[in-house]
Amino acid sequence: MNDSLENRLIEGYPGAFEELFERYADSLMRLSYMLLGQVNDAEDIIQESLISFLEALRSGRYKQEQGTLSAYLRRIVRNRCIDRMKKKGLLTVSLHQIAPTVDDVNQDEKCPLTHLHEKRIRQTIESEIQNMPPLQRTAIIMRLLEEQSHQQIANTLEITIDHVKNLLGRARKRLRESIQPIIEERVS
Amino acid sequence: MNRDSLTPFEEKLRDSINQCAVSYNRELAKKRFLKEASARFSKKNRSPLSVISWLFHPQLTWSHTAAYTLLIFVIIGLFYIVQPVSGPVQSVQFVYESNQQETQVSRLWLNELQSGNFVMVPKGISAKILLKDQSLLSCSPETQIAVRFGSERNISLQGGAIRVEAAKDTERLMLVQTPFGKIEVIGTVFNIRLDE
Repeated sequence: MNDSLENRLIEGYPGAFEELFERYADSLMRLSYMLLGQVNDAEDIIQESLISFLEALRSGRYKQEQGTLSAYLRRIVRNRCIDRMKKKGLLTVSLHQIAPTVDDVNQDEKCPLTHLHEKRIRQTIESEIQNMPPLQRTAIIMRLLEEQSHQQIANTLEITIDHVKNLLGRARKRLRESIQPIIEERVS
Repeated sequence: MNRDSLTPFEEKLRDSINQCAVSYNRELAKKRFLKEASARFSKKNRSPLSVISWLFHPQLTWSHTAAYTLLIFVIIGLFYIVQPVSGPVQSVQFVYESNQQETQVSRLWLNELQSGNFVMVPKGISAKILLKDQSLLSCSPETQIAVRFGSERNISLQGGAIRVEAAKDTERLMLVQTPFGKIEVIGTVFNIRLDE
């Protein structure tokens, strides 16, 4: 534990900043980009987040026992993205967004992400997520990339748990429908 | 099974997203991060500039408080060292004869006078020198004068003319020394002019 990256950062060990960036920048960038849909904004967020982590580390606000560093960093990035979207008024809930919950229990079983089609499917998923309304997008990203529970998502986004389930259901349905043609094309 | 764990479909979505590469200028972003991180958090090679930016850092800690306290003591110390305390002169005013505009004399001129050296009043300007004992010396332009206080209040005059308004001091005599002789002050107001 004494040789952890956190300790090396505190002690100003040469190369520690670079290691921090190398280890986490890409995955944080992915999270941030998926949420914001803008490379420049996403990059600003990871810069701010990494610096804010270093500040927390220096001032002792960050405790190593709090959980993994990666989860901590993802939380900072996600919260900053949500703040930014809130400032732009993107996360406000309007009534017409609340549609009946989609039942998707039986549709999960087969989803052959075959090697040949993986890239196309990835691109489709990415663009589909980018085209979702911000609130729905945030919910599905928190679910998929952070594996947050419905309750945690509801707390972070300040909406009801039913609303979260509804958002996730619609997001899953949308993603499934968008990749279905590609899969069928492969099968036929 | 935990109701909230990811469904197989969600897991596949997650894996798929995790393979997405976001195209951004990684090297530039890294450079930018390393620059800011090492400027603000590196312990080694701290430049004077980064110390200044640290002092004005918005997030103040105990070490900031300590640094500020130290800085205040250093400033007070410097003030006492630089400020001459033993000189006989309290203040000096230059009076411009052309339009009677008054101004504060330069610090260098005052320091010279404080340390007992001869100074010359600049051309076209007269000076009013207020001494610590509240005596007032009015000097005409180009007067050369030195003031030293010891057991006596000594004023040396090498040239020009002064008007002395001596304050009462029963313990210390006021003496005005000129190349032509010594004058002991008895009255309170008098003029001296040295003619070549």
